[in-house]
Amino acid sequence: MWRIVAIFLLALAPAACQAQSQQSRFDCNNFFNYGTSASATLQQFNTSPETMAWNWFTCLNQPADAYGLNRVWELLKPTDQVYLPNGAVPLPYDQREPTPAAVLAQANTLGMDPRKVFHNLDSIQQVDGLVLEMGGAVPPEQQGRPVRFQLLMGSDTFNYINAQKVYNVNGQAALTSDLNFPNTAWELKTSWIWIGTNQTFMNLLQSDGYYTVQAYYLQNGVYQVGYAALSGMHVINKLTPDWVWTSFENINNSKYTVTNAIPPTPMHNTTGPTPAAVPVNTAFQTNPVYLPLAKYELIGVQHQFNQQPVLLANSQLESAFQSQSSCIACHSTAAYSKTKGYFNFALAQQGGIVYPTTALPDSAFVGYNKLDFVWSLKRAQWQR
Amino acid sequence: MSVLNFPRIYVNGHMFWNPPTANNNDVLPLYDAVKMQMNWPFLEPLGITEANASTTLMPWTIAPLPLAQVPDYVLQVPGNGNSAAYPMIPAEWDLFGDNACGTVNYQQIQSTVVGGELQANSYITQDALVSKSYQLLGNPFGSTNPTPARFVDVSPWQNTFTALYFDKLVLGDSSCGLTLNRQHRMLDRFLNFNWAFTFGGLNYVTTTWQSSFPKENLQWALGDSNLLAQLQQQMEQQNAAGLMFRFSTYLTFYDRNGIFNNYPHVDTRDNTPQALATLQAMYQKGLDNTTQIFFNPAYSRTAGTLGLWFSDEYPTAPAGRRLVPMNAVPVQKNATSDTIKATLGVISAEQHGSVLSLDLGNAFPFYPVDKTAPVPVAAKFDAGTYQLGTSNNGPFTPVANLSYDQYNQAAFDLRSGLVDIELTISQQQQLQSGTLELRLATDGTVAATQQMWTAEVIESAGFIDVGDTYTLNIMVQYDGLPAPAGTVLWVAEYGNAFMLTTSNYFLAFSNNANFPLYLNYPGNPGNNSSTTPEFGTQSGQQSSLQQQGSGRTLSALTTNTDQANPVPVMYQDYLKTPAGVSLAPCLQFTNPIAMQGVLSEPTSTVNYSVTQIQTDANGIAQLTVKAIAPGFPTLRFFVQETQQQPVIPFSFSFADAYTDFLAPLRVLPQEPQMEQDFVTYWNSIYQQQNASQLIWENFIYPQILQPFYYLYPIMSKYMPLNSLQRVEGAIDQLIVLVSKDYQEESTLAMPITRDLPQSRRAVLELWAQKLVKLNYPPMPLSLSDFNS
Repeated sequence: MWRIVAIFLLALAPAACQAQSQQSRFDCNNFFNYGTSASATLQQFNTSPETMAWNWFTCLNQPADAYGLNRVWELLKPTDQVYLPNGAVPLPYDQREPTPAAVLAQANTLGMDPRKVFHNLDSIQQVDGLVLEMGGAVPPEQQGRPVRFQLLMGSDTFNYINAQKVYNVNGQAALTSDLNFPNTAWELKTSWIWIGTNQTFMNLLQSDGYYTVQAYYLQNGVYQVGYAALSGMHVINKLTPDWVWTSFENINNSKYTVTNAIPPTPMHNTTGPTPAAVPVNTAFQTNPVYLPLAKYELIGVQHQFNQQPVLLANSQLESAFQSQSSCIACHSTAAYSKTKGYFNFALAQQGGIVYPTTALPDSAFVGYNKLDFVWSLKRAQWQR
Repeated sequence: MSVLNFPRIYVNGHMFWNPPTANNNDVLPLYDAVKMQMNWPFLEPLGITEANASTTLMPWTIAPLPLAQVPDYVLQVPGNGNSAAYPMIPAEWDLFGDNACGTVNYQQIQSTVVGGELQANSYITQDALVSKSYQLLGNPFGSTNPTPARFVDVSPWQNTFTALYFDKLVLGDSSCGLTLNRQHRMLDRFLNFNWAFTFGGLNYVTTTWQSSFPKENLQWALGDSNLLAQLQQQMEQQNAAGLMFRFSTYLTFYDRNGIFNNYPHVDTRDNTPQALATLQAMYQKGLDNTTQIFFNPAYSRTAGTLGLWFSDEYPTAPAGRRLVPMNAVPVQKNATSDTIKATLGVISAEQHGSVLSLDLGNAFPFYPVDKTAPVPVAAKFDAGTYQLGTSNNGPFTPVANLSYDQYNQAAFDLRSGLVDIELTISQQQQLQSGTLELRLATDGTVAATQQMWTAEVIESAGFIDVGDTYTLNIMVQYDGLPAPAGTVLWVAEYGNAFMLTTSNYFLAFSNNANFPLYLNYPGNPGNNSSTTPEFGTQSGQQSSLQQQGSGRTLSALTTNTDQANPVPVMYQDYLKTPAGVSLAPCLQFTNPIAMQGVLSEPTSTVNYSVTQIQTDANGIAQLTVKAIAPGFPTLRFFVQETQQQPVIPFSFSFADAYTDFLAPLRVLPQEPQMEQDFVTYWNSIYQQQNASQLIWENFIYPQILQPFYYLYPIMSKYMPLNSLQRVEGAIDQLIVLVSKDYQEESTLAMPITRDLPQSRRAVLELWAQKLVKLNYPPMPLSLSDFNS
């Protein structure tokens, strides 16, 4: 399927062939498993992590099928399908708990396409406990409402969680050693500007290059159903031992999202794009092959401690704490203790709160089992 | 010594103050801060109950409240009965305030270093540090972006004492500047309400702040600044303990949005229906949509001095010889304007070598040149020319003159109110030979006289729990020098009897004593007067003072001339109202001395306790108290100057408190049963599928977080305290910020007002750490979990 999709994409822009860089010829076939060779992919990655990040981003954003109804990443398993209420055993990777009937009913009324994925945008809080507010050019009914989030994982991530029975807290509490995901583990964290059913707003966002989907969320026992626009995406995998951390966001986010200052000001990314990402962004954004992604930019790539960039944040996902945001450092604290619960990476320092931007010493994790950078495991519930 | 020594660095600018006024309510007893609950007995007659508060309380808080709906026991409190002040919005003028404070650097309004002085009368303006900004900053909140300092009234209804929490004071920048990391938080000193009464409004009130920083807390970036280099050098050469920063704040104005900031304009002093409707609508928008939240801070002018700090000096209050006001003197704006009689403020004096330095930062009254000016400008009243000299039991020997050009606004702005006077050798000797006095040159009126004994508490404004033992260190001085060892201090506990507005202090007593709390003029509560009954006098006929306005609108305190017969309202009767506060002791002294006094008319015996403490060789006395009941005790210290025990007054006016030696504390309630109840309840539900929801709805929110949700609407922007999802999602941050460690000093402590009793903290922490952090394990808890 991947090869078909790649051909499909290329066919969209034959005139651009001359201008295509090597990146556009990246073979998306089996890319979740690094094609035919992880070592070759690693070698290619080390040559230009930013180019590889963009390659993966393009592969993830291919149409998932010949009809182009969904993109590849949309078929990854969302965490609400993995960490079930009451810690129940999740369905196999390709199967889904049914979309709530109330959602489908509303969707039908709204004329939505039942063949497309309905994304459950179930989260609104960032890891600093705050939300990112919509503002600026969003319509009045959305002013101040939070940007929403969804986490998804690849099959090998899910299969490992399933095999280790850590999809519930009972399994995590039973751990006797650290987790160690396979190198083909992938996770995505996405951020969404909620559109609702405002067609004018959707048109505006689409004209600013936002990818829009059908979505819903549960609020006070009532399902809200509507459309949402993709404002940011973390893409991570374990090609390297400490994982590879890449982050993309729409270049127009400052028009629609605001800081938590009073009064609010436009939200900008203060950590990137990194110098290394800038030319790669230009190459991909100006390549007509990737026109649907032209308004997205790579902020940067982390894969080793104490290497540049030390800070890496997505303005949509780490909004207020960008100046102390390091993907690799924060996720390296993913750990669970039977007595203390999940590790608290809000460090009590300087009379306030500080977030780690480098690896904490092993002594900080005495009594914990480390979760191999996978913080989504916090979403697990107890089987009562 | 102190900032009166050299070198000095002067700063000048503006301060902002952003209190949440639904909590710091000046008029209505919305919050029972003793029990730490919403004041349901006050609210229920208004149709607001615990059951319906989620839909009724905030709408009521932001809606105009007509006079007819204000209960008599509220209207009768002196200062509250002005009918023109109603309707009023219960939330008052800054619903979304976040307790932040700091200097203003906004567009053309800047707070900067203005100069310095290496020795007397050698003013320096050419220095790399001059014109750079300065700021008080708070602790980090997950970001390198600075957070503000915070100020907290020790008692939400008493304006006399405000603690200023901060993490650091920063002058200049990383290339040329100085960062001073906090050792001591600040408590306002010499808060002089008398000028509000004399001149008509809080605009005229002045206060003094001070903190000192040990050497090791300083981070220097000398750059090209000779001022900084000299300060650092002199600190070492003179073997100073570190640096001292003292500043005064004055000329406070409200409703300056759009001028000092980019918040929307609002006029909260206008209580016409249209203005109130506008304000209500703005508040409603902010409650509905967090992007519409706005602040409406108050703004003050400020001037300060950075200088040397020596180990024998009070770190948080001016030390040295101190003059306090005696008789009112005539003051006028200019030669053709009316003359007003006013008392002066507090003056600190220090003699070093041939120089006498006076701190007049809080000494001479000022007025706003134009009250309607967008950026108010102050000018000092011309209070005449003075002679400073000494008095030895009568005869006065003048030593130096102090004229208007030395204390006028220009001089004040230049040196932050410090004045240096060169002395001859004989003048130096003369000043050491007696009690300092400041006399009006024209007629010899004694405007100020030296307070020979002073006593200042180092650890002020502590928050403690019932059952805690707390030790205070009191630095005592005589004639500006550490008191001799063995100096005896008597200590008594006082309290305030109203749960609203700033009021007089009464001795804490343990029996059912009774006395007239205020004089009520039926039909005209605007004339109601407070009392200050004393032992052995006819308490009901004490000369009463009529207070006009309360809180921000406090504007006058005058002798009552109402010819009608007032009705004394007795303390025991008022105590039964929802706004009454018990005057029973909150503290138990380690070595209590049982005392008894008798009030007359009606005769009432008062049983109270005092204690005695003594200074050590360093002039420091220690007082240990045990907290026995929740409330807001204020300790007052009396130096025993003779063989006679000093007089312990039954009461004193808050207007006089600025020259007394007081230490406010807050005692938080202890509810040990709550811990057991929490464990019991969790153990009854932990196996249920919705256990997390049940423990939230039936325990954590109603019993712990609910009052903070109502009192701090600003929290809805960051951590809505009525939302389980949002609190759970910020549980890591909550665990850090509610910790006991952070209560004492962090500017980010939750709650910001630090009124979280240990029992409630313990339950909140157990819920957070053992339930939320573990995703609500289906396992029972035990009381021992509180200790793990």
